Amino acid sequence: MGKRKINNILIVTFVMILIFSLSISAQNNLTADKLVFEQSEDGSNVIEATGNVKMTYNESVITGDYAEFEQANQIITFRDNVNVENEQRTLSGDNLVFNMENNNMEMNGNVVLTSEDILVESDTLSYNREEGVMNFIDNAYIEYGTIKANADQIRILEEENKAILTGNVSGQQGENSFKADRIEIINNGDKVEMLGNAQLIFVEEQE
Amino acid sequence: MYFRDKKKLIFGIIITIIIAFGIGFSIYDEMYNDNGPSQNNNNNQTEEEYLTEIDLELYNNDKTIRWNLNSEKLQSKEDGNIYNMDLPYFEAYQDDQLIYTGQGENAIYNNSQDLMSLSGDIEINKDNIILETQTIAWNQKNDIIRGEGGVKLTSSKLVISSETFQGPISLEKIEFFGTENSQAKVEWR
Repeated sequence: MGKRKINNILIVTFVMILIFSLSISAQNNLTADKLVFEQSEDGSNVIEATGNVKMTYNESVITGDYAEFEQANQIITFRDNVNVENEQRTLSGDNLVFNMENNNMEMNGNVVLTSEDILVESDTLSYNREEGVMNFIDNAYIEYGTIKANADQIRILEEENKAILTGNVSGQQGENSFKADRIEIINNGDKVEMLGNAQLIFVEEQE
Repeated sequence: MYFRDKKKLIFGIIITIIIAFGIGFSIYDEMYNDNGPSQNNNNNQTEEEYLTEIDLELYNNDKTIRWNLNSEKLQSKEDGNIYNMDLPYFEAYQDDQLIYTGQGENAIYNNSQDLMSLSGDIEINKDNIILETQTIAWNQKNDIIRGEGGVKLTSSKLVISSETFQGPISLEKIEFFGTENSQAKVEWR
């Protein structure tokens, strides 16, 4: 292989790496009608964003009426009419605290998760994006496949395509009712496992 | 004859010389005015040289913040009401502690309106941030500083860009404003 050819390959590779790194860095940004940048005495920066706040972070788009970014701990807090959207789902709530360092999200107030095959509601959500685990806490409700149920806590394991309902679980599958301490719904309701004081109430077919 | 009198002759010569000098000075004065620009340049140069040695000191309302401005060239106009500076460099002090420095291409200070305006590739360095814009106006009546024509704040971790900004003269808190077509933006580095 000629020296010129090697040089050309190296240049093309460098340009591709540059374009790729530029596209990666361009993914994380936040826009708003107004931004307020403030430096505290310890030198840490805080940015307040108001009006049509929109943050693009990797594959997600987060919108809200207000956001506050604390540079020291890499935490951004969204308030009022918060929506987190990506290709698969939409998450909405009153407030969101997003830790950009460990990729964790805490959402509270009228939390709703909607996607093609699942609906979950609760007062609070704790979401570990790295592990793909969502914990819906307090007054949790789920519609998953043919199942509709309430529980104290609903845990969604994204990779396993599994929902684990714990604490005062009660719900319906079709016409049948059930109660249990813990229920695991796997693969869109194909398999349901009930544990602890499980009760199934079958509706008798009328002649 | 009248001039046969020696005294009268001398008197006549003196009068003639005085008249001749008078006419001569008048002509010289006319010539001086006609060739004025080159002569004026010399005078202006003297004035500009003198003015370059002057630094401007400006204070905010409560006298806690002081701006020291100096420039390559400083011209005073309208009886000292307006100061025009080329390549201004400024330092801001809060209670005698340096809080930021900055520079631009041109500055105009309007003494009667208490208004300082800077323009052209302005760069302000504050702690570990750089603030860049095209025009800045500091209204000393309310101590608000405003920037227009595209604004960029760069820190080690992020970049903020917007159309305009405003803040107190201390620059402790800076507000960035977007427009309908171009919102204010934070980009993480």
